[in-house]
Amino acid sequence: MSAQTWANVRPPVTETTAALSGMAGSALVSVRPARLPFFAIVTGYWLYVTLSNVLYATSMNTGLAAVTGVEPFAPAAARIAQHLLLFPALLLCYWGSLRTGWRPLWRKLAVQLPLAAAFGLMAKPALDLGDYLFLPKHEMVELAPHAAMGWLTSADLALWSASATNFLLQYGFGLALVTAFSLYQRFRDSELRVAAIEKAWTAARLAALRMQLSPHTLFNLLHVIRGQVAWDPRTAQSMIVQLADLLRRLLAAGEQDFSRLREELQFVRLYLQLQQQRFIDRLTVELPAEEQLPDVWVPSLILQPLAENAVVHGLARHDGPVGIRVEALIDDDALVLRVRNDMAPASSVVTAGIGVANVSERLAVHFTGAARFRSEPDDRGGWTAEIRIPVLRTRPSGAAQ
Amino acid sequence: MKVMIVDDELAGRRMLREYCAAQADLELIGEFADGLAALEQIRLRAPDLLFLDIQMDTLDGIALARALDPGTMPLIVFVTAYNHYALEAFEVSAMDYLLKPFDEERFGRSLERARQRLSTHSASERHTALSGVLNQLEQQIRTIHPGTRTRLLAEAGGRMHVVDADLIEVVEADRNYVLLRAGRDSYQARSTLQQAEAALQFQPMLRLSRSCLVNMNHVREVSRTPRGDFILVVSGGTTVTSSEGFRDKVRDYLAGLKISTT
Repeated sequence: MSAQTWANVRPPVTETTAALSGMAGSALVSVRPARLPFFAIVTGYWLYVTLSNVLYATSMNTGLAAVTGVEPFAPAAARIAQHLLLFPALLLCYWGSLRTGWRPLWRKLAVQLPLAAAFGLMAKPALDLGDYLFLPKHEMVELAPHAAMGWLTSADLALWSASATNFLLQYGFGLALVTAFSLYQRFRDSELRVAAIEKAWTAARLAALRMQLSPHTLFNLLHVIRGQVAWDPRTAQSMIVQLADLLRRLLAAGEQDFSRLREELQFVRLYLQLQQQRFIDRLTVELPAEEQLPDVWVPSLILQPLAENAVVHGLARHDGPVGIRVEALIDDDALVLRVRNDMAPASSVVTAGIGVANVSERLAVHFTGAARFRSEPDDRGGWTAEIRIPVLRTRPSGAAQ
Repeated sequence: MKVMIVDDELAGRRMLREYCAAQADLELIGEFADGLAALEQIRLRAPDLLFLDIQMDTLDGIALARALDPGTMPLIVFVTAYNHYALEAFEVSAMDYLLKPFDEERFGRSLERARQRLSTHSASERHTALSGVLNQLEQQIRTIHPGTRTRLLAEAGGRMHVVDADLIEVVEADRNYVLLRAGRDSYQARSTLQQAEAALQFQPMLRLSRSCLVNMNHVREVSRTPRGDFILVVSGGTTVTSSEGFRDKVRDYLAGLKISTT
């Protein structure tokens, strides 16, 4: 592990938080469909509707004229004008409809239905306006004889409701198309988001693992070794070997989610032995005998943050001796791992370190509720951290993958 | 030159002791594992140079540095194992520091710089530079470890105590001292009101008069005298009154706490 890696211990975490909050931001934006595709879909659909309506009217006109000599449908120019006039209204209604959404249905229908109805009812006036704009005056009169008889005759109403029904159907098809597209977009966005979260989570997990041995501890250890080189070369040599072992195990453990309890305790033993070298005048350590350990699996490096916490908080704010005791036992079908340390006599509340917060997070990930973790003062004036997890006789396969 | 060492690790103290012994003009007058014991001796024996190990996990080293008297400020060489944020702060303010692990050569270089600075800077100049660095460090520690509590060293009943800054309700100036009130307890610290204000930068301290600060988190009752001065009662029962010159500031602050009607 290079110096660079250690120097980078903090930043990955902040980057992760930044990435996560950034994603939360984009999640809010992506609920509405992107403007350009929305516009393209509506335009394409409306071109199709225009074309089919105009062709239908023209062919009906031709057919009926051959039989009856009358062209009952409005001419193509007026029809095209009608569809052109309706286009902005269509865009507006779809936009409003997508913004409104459909949940809860009974409440949103109160908005959706009037929107659709308003659009349908606009069809007839739009056609009349098209007539008025594009046809010479005499033809107007000819086509609309009722104009002389006053406003809104029953024939007028019949024509209006017929065109409203027709355009309502077309509105409905188009809305289904646009809604489907926006749903697809949302689905694709959420897929991307999940991928981004997974990536951030992996980075955070690695950062958490790397943080198991605080850089502060590492450099202080190097300083002690630096001193022992002159004072006691044998101790210096053994410390270098221990530190190398510790780093090797740290690297190995970073690659796997679970380790044997024996391995985990060996790691804690190395760690505490090195810390003892730092505080040789104050620290005593008690670990369970290796042959008494149950042959079970535990999440890698789950115990070490508790040991680190015990050292830091045990030594803080007094200069007396500190004992640290590590226990591992099976109790009622659960594996209990316990780290206890003495504290300064009048020590007030001690806040949990970052490492300890990681422990409960990781237990939650691995065991989802089946694990217990507590870290609190005990009745003998010390501090006890205890993990209670299901007994894993065999190595769990891909539990966290 | 009189030297003191504060480091919680035996090996750390021993190494500094040996390097100091190799310098003819250095006289080691004390080494301590913890800040409380060190502060008394620093006041008593006024060293010129102090090697101070700061554990970046806690604020103990910072509490000690804050408690030093501006008038007899020793030159401080910070000793630290790891923290690139701290290093930035040191670089900017031209503080002396030693990065663990160090060897005799690095020790010698930083000692050389310290010697120069001791002759060119006055105690009060050093004090100003120090308080800037301490504020910056504290800020950074709080970003890395949210929930870190500022602690101050203060005396009560002839003994030194570590007082949690968020428990301090009222600070009153009293000649060369400030009086810190926290609930039923009161402590004395040798500092000016300005220094106390800087040390309590993360508490909502409000100036009531030239000689009094109150922590607004602890104010329970507010009333006014017929003249218009504010009377504040804090949780511990202490009553403090604003002076005329600060009345407007207090009014503005309290106005900000009102539930807005607009």
